[in-house]
Amino acid sequence: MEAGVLHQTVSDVISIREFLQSWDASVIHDSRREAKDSADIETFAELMELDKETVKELDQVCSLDHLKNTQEPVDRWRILGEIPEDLNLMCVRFQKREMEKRKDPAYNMIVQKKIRQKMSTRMNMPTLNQTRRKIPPQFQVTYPEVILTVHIHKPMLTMKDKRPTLTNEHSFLVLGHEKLTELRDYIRCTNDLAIPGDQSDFPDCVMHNYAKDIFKSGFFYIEGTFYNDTRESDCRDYSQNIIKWAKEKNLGQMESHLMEECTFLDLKIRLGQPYVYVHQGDCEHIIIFSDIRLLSSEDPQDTREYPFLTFRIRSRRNVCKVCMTRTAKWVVYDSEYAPENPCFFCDQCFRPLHYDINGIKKGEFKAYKYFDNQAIV
Amino acid sequence: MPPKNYIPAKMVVYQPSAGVKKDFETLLERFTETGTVRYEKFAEIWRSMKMNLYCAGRQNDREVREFIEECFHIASQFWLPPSSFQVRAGALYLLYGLFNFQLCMPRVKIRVTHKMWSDVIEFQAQAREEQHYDLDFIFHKLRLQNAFYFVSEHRELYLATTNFHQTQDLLVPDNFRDETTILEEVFSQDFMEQLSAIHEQYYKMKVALAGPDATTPDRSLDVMENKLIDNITKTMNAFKERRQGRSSRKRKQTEGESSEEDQEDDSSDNDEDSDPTFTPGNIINTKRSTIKASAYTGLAKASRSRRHRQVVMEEDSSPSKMEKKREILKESDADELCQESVVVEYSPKKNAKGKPVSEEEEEVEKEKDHTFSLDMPCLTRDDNSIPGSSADKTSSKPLSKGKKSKRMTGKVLPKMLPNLEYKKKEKEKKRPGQKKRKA
Ligand SMILES: [Zn+2]
Ligand SMILES: [Zn+2]
Repeated sequence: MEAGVLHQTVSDVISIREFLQSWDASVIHDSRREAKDSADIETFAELMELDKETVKELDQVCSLDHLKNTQEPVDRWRILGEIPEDLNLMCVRFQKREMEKRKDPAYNMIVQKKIRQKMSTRMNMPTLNQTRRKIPPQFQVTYPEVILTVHIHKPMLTMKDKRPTLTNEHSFLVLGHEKLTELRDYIRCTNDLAIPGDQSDFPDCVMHNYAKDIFKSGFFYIEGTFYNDTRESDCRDYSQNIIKWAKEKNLGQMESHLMEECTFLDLKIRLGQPYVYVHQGDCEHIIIFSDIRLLSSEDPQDTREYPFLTFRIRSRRNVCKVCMTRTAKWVVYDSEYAPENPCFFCDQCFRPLHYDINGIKKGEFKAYKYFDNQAIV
Repeated sequence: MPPKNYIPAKMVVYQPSAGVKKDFETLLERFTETGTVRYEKFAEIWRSMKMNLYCAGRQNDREVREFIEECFHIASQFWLPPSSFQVRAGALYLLYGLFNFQLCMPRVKIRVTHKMWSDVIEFQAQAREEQHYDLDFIFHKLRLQNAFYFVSEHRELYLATTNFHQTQDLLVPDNFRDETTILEEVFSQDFMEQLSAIHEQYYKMKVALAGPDATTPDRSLDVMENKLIDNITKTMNAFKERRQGRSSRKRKQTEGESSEEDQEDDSSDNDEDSDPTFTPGNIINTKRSTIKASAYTGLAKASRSRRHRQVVMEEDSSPSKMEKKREILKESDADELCQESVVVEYSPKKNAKGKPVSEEEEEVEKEKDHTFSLDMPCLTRDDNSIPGSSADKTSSKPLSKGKKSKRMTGKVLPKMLPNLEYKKKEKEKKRPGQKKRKA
């Protein structure tokens, strides 16, 4: 996703609550009902205000069987894999030629990458098994309900030296009735888990002073409004300074609200528009809402499953430079045993190299705890 | 700055929905010809087209999902107001079939916005009032199957869906509406100016490469059609005229309460969207002379106004400097040609109604031809004696002429022949030489 090829399309401002209210009761009823493939004559008779005999007849007339050439079931994977000879549809013929072209591995790679990129956020959709589970009533979703797709991107900060690029890190489905803080708590960022300071003197100390426990402040900035997290007493209001600055620069009026009091239904957003989530002082993540729709019965019905992770970036983990197998747990600076500076080590390789048999530090170096992105979610 | 609707060539590489619109239109045309909205009739046509296998060949789950999303998007456009009642009825059956025969689990759903939904509900109310029970039944069945997503926008709006513009606008049905088309937006004045400037620059560089005194490019580089811009303008004008003619005819038709589509018209219609440089031969022949005049005057001026922007590059393209850049240029040449061939390839062919298969093959053959001719320059680099080099700049060479003819007119084969002959000669020229060396 290079910035150069973005055709960014942004919707008008949508009030999520108004969107929800715009649908009439019959649609809401539809969304709540479980899907039925086999026709239930009585339901139809009622819906169409006809007698059952007529409906039965209609069921025959409108059967899907009339759309098949043979009554044999279609072998899904076979049809996907190879095209029957006697098929003359234009789209299929184009696909046939496309398949020819894909015999070129280089071309195939580009195409597959494209498809993967485009469809990745839609693949990990909830399956029926998940939704059929028994759910305690207090965790049942309530209808009518909206479901939003939100994409969280990698912090811009980590790419300071490069041209800023957007890399989607996670995508979630969130419910309209959820608080913004529920999304915030689900955004995983390694910067939250950083442990400040050199730990080389006491590597065995159990440390839980994660950055997120020390610096708890954070905000979303969406359509001119700051949503500040003030759940903890020592949270700071980052937005004050920005609002003041914006006023001086005549950048328009900005508001500030409390994140923990705001649900997604209260938001007014543009789909496709980049907004921002800031935490740890200056760790900025672009967030984009891409879709709003009514919750359906095929979506997870348990509120505890939300925010529902539909996509997670697959990046390479950083492995220990000594054994090259285990995930790195330490970043070590100025080590004389390291092939590079700074260097990644796993715990098992870090200890024997840098400490003697009594656990005494050998030489001058600095060691910081490291949390790999792939290891934390 | 690319114009608003500029589509980078990279994105044209794979269009999952190529041909889909054509198929749907064929199906719906045949359905409207029956003059009824009965599901039975629809099913007959659907069966004869083997539409239930429409997902064939989509390699994996991701691909088939993307494809089906596109299909729904296109099909649901026919289900909406500008279409006639009969087309909308056909579109509902179409969606019913597409939804149920999709080879995807869990099923892809049909996205409906609030606006769409109210239109659809209105349509269904009418159907019910007129006692088209099959329409009513199938609509209820889709609803019971939870076939719909109730959404706020037609598509997800996210950066990754970069071909949003492209797919949405290019594939909107044009048979049943008479608003401006994407074509006019894509080939805007601004775009044409830029294209013209680039083309000119490109031509100049090629001339510069041929030597200080050259007036025409080296033949090995002269593979681009020279009157490209003029031809596009002509095509656009022809298209506009025809469009106006049709829309007025259409209005008459709707007044006359006949919902049948003008079949002859439609068959040559829909492909212009995806292949703008293509115009049915008969039309351009009859109107050529009149259009030519207007097209030439309009564009020559426009291109000049842009030229100043290219000045820096032009200065840079002195022969001596260009000498070094040859390698690079060759590459970019190839790039450009490849892009062109891509466009050719993915544009649905006209007259598919007649004998579709043979034409398909024909096009594939032509493609091979085209790539073959790309290789030629390397073989003939030293051969500077260009046939007809005394002619002015705008004279087109055999190679480009061959290419042009295949895109611009309906009569493909006869005009391809000189091209083939040309190549034969090249081969013959080479062979004796080799023999001599051996001897
Ligand atoms: Zn962060
Ligand atoms: Zn290790």
